Amino acid sequence: MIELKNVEKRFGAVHALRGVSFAAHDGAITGVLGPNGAGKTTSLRIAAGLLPPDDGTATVDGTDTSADPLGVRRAIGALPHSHGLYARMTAREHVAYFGRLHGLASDVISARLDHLSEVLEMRDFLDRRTEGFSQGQKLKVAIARVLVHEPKNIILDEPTAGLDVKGTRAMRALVQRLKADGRCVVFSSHVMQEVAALCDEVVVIAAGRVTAQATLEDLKAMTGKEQLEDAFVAAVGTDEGLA
Amino acid sequence: MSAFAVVFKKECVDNLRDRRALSTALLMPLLGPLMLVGVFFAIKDAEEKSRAPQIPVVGAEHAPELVRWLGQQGVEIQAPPADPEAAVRDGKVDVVLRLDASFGEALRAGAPAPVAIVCDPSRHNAAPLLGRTEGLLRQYGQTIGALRLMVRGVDPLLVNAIAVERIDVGSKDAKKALLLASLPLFLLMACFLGGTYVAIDVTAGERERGTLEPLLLNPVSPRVLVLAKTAATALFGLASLAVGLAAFAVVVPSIPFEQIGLDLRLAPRVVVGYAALFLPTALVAAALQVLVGVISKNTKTAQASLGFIILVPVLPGVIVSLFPQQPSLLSCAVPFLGESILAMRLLRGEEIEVLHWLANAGAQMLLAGVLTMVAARLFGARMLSG
Repeated sequence: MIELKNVEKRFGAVHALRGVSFAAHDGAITGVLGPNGAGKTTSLRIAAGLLPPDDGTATVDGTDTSADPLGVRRAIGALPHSHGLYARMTAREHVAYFGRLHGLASDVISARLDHLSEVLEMRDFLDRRTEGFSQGQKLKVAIARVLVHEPKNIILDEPTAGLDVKGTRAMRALVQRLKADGRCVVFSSHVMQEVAALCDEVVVIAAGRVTAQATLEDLKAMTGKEQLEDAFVAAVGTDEGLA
Repeated sequence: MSAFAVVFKKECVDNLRDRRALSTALLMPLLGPLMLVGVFFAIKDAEEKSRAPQIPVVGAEHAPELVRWLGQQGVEIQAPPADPEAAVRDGKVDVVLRLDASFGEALRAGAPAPVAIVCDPSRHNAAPLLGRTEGLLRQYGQTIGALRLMVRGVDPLLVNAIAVERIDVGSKDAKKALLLASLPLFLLMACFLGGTYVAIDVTAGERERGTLEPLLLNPVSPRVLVLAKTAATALFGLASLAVGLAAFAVVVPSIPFEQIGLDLRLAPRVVVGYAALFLPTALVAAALQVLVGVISKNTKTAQASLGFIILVPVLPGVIVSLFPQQPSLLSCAVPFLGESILAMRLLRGEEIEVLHWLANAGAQMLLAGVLTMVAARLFGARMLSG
């Protein structure tokens, strides 16, 4: 479970977050929807213990991210928006590297690699260097390495950006699977359809504020709109930056 | 395996696969010894030339006495080229001496006998031979003049109102001093060269590839990451140093430096001393390069800055070679300057005091520590924005 309470964040003169609060529960997919530049990435970085909040608190399974950032990172698997790979290392080495950084033993790592390469269908390129991988292959490697320590909480920042239809569908299947395992999945996107198709709950962020957190049905009721798309636009306050 | 070891190993393996990083670390340090060999042969060649000058002579048959005398002075008389002017202009020969039929007649008549030197004074390389040729001809002329005066009962010394002597302390010796000083300089540079690409790859490179944020999301503190990355960089610098040192140890004894009057030996003691002397340097180099990589916006600016920073250790080295210093505790404690001073002493076969070495190593380690601490402070999520 990931919880942000009144989180404030400034970068110099930019007031990026103006009191962001939301909760993402275990066994559920929480969508974070908002236009580009609304504060999604910053909120997720704070939730993962990468940035300290200026004010307010962020907790993961009850652990404060500022007090114990390393402990929080053990409980989280986060796929950031920019998830580059090392061109001279193989897919297997990427996953093993992150597994070791989490202090996993070699036999544990190879067992999980087996499992992950099965689930993510990456056997064919597991021992190839990642230079020249397709977007989909790259994303699979990037996801495998954040799941290798079997985190209870998973943050995916715009994971479908740049993917083709096949890749997007595979991604959705994976997210469903993680939910079925009872994990807490936070999924950010600026694509309304994706959020509508996947998420149990949606957090709408606009201009550094949470304008709504509700189930999809409640959101329609709250905004008085029949169509989900209209409900999103109403919650954000504008249709600019959405897709 | 500790997180430090995991990151250290990954950075080493990753960069060993980078042909550019590997060739920089292992091949660039060979340039120093190669240059040493090149300069040795250049100096030797120049000295041989001046010892046995080769002068092509046109019309040697018109002045057999002069030609024989030149031969006695160690000049190797050569057959002239077909077109002396063109040959000199094109730089095929440095000078050509031309004698004509009137030489013997003028000499017998007591008139100045004509000798022409075809030359191009604008050519720097030809200057020594030109000077030598003119000097020899002047000497020959004076000898004959003196004989004429003696025949007439005049003391030939009367015409020598002053006695000029040229004491050459010039370029040749400066070249040798530079040759000597280049050895520690190259080793200093090797410490920097070896780790350059690694330092960039593990800092600005991580940011540029978008691998920094995933890495930072692991439960490892930025301090440990920076330490491991600096250690990997230092390892490449040390490998470079080892290659350079080994190459010098092989090259120097196999070249007869005594032939050019240079006492350059690389006793095992000196090699070991250099390893001890430059080990802390490699650590400072790695710490400095990683810090520059951390604060650079991208790999391009990091490369530009590091190309400039390699001059930092070179300047003190050049100063030491131009103005030899006596080591003091203070000068030895100045990073890069201290090693240069102590390295020159070792090379000359002089003893160095352990205290001086400790002062240098201590100052270097302190600097490396401070630089690493600053880098650790700046490394982290703040590198992601901007």
